[in-house]
Amino acid sequence: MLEFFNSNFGRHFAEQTGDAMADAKAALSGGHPMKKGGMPQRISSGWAIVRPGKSVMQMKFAAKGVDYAVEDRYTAFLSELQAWDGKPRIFLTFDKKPIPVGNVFVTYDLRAVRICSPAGVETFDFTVPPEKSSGVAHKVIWKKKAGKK
Amino acid sequence: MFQLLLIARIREDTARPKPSGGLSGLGLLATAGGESAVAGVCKAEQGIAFTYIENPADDCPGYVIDYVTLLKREDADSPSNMHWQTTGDQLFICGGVMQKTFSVTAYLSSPFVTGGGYMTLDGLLAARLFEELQNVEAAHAAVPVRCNAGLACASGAIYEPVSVDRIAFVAQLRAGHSLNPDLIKKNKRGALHRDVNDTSLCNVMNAYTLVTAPTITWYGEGDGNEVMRLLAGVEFIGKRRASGFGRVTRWEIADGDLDGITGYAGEPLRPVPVEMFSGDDARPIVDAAWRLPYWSPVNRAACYVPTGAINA
Repeated sequence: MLEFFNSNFGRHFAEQTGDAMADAKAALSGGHPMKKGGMPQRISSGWAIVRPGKSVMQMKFAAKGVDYAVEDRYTAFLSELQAWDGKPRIFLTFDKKPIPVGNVFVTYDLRAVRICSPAGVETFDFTVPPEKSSGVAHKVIWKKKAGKK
Repeated sequence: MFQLLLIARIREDTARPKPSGGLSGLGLLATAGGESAVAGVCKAEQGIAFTYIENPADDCPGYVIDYVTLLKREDADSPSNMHWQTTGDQLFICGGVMQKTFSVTAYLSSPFVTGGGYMTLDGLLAARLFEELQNVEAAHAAVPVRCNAGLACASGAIYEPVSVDRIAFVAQLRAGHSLNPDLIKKNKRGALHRDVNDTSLCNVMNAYTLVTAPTITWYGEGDGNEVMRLLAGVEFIGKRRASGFGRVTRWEIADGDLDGITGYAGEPLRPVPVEMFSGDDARPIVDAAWRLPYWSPVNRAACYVPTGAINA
């Protein structure tokens, strides 16, 4: 799991030492050069989708191995899920507080999509509509899927 | 699915093969789609006749065939990896200890609290062993269940909840009172961060799941006596044990017929890596920790997991 994260995302932000835990933590918690210049910053907002190959994220850093997009997080996640190719993904939503490595989970199946954030992990079945008790991501993604704002 | 064909040595006196150490002369062949395919060479003595027995249960009553090492998904059925096992207790010897399949049941008198996870039996036993040994590696090594390439024959917790609710607890931390200031990182001026003595670090609210169920059952394979010895001292399980949740009134162990990995319908009873699972593969694949320690992300892999516990 951490190897997938590091090889497709973390290595663009932190030097790989061979310690998967430490490398993932350095990518998620460390400061990285920004595209606009200035002081290095932590990944502290926006979202990222870790894909096999080239990953995509919203916050713009100087790292070149990653694509950058401007969509909001749930629109990006919905597009990714609708174009699901069966390969693993990691869905990350960032905030001021860094995401603990323990909160990073790979999504292998549309029936168990995992949205990782600093506060925890939301898991839902993308193939069925949300219930009253479902999490925010499930509800918003399904709203967007239905064409509602 | 493979259909197992047994090659049994037929003696003139038609004696049944014994599940003793001398297993040479016995072997299994695997066939796929009904076509015979010899998967191994029988080590029988010369001059002894062999035949195929299509249903070992009928033709060798009292015995079943067991794998020495559990098969992974792509592994071929090899005679060298099989041995006889009695059907009575399905006993086998491993590391000099009598092993058997069993089920353990905890009878609860109060709801238990869980923060997620599968509550596997090996995790519970490892925690209990850590209390005794005070060494993580030693505790993990001493878990008395059968283990194959790191995968423990120990199921996750199985229960039928009467109700499932959310519950929140507020934990109060008075860092300035309860922590040794020497252990806290200082700021540039060499002083403690002001928040340490401030109210902002005082209260933390954590939300959990509260499950009301009369019993929790686990299935496993291993040294049942040692399992029972370890569990006998466990009076509370789950989170918030110190607050009275998850009170166990008694433990009960019984012979079982599940290995703690796959259930009757081929469903996973615990997180099992995809390449090691031979049950129902129509279920969702989930990123989950499959071996001790379960808290470490390093031990996560693409797994089949018990239904209803995907959120863990």
